[in-house]
Amino acid sequence: MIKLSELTLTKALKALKNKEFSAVELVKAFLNHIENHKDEFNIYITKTEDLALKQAAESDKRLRDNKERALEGLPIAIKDIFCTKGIKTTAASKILENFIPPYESTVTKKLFDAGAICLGKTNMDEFAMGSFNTNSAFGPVTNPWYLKDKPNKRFIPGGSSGGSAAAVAGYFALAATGTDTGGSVRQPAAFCGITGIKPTYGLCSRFGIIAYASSFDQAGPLTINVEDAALMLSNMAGFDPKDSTSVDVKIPKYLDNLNPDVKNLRVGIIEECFNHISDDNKKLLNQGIEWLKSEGASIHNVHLKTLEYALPVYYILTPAEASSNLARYDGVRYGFREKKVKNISDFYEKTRGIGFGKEVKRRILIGTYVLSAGYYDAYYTKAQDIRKMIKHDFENIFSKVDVLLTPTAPTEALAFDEEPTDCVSVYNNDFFTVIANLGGLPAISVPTGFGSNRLPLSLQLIGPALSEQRLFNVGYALEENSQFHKQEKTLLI
Amino acid sequence: MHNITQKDLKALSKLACIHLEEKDSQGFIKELPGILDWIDKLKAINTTGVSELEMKKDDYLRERNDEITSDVTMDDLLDNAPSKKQNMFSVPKVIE
Repeated sequence: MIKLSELTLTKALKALKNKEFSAVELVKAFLNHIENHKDEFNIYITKTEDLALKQAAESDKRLRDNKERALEGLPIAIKDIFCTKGIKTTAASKILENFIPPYESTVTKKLFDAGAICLGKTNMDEFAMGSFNTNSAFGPVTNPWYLKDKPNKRFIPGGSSGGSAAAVAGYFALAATGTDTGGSVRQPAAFCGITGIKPTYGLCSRFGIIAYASSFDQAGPLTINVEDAALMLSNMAGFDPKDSTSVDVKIPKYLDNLNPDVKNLRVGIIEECFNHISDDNKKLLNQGIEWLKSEGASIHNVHLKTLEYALPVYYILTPAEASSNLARYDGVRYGFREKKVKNISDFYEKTRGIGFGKEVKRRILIGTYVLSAGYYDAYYTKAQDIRKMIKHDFENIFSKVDVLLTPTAPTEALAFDEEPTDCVSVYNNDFFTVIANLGGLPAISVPTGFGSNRLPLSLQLIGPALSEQRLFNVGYALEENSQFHKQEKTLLI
Repeated sequence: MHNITQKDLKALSKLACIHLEEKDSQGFIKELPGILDWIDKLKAINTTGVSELEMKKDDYLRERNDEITSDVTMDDLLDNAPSKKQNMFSVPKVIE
């Protein structure tokens, strides 16, 4: 009997090599677990049982022949924003509800070529626009965590990669892919008590990832722990000529180099963060500081005066890019088409009006507004200029410190009935995460404690470009000190 | 304080090519001014001279040769078409 709750990628890899169970047995265990809870969490938009069993049989053959690859036989979930050849890819939108890509995204190709097994495509906020995973055309995802004293209360998993985060947290996949435009890997990872990393912009190819805001979008893994994130990222990243923003660097074997030694590490604390921090987060951040200090790191206060402008900049630039990227959905070549139309304008407008959900429409309208004649300079150019100032501020900061330590999300996971109703409050959820996307910098979220509700809380580390190994190492030190994974997890499974 | 009228929203949705139902329109008329007021806080920052900051080498996009590299066929593409005729995308007749 395979105990899924005791597995991680690295443990499963070892067990498969030691013939403790086969890849087919492992996949069947996951498929059974998914089937047993199919009505509870709404994690998968599409399940790929047949493909998973076929891939597992191939993995077993390779394992028998001692020809195993880096991720041989490891069942993972794929966010439904990665195009998978011959497998429906919806971006959780009605407008793509029947879209079957004729090509494979580079990231998924790399993962499957490394032996990973596809269990299915996970639910998400439509076109990755959202922080709660409540903007999906396929319904919301439920967080596997619950409170012992309020057993009937259900919590949101965060977003936009909420299905991927819930899949890993609830043992419905060993790991999952996500995309992060303003925090969409790190924030759901934090809400679900798992690890998530957004790499340096350009480290993972964007080819075949359905675009939201192209100068921000970046793929990243969601995993139980730091070791697994290191293993996954080595097998997702790499130069790709098909993406003109792909970075041409050698990708290290992050897992082999993992080392929690933080002696002489200079850790920066952004003073302006304290204007926006809850008591729970303040406590956790101070605890994080103590852990790193006790391991030999030094702590330095730094200023990021542009911090409070980061969110408005983000909510000008990403809708602007989205309004352009999503212009392709016109009902002509693929996707949903409304048939009851009067003329050509009606054809486009009705198709898009019915095909897109409310948040997507809202962001396209904002993007259209800030790019329109008379407003372009006041909003778009201004925001681009402040983005440059933020990047410049980061360059100064990273000449003085090696990493920045912040909370990941402002709060623990919210209950469904606690979701804010005004947009600006919703957007504020990305407060600590968007800065990394604006700077194109890598950032990792590591679960390190619990809030006053006893739901998980995470710390975030941001580093200079291409410092992923450093982030894994420091993240590993935080994880070890926190003993988070040795504490009781109150999960609905 | 921003104000978005029904007429403003209609012009905006026309530019965005999105038909809005009455219920959605009323919601957006209420919400959009709040979002615009919020992003207006950027006006407080002096950005004079920032646009002229030198672009770094890695700010430029890499170019590629103009060569066909995709193995996606016409049949593959037409498989996703909402409507097709004679190896072409088919759309409703438009006579205006």
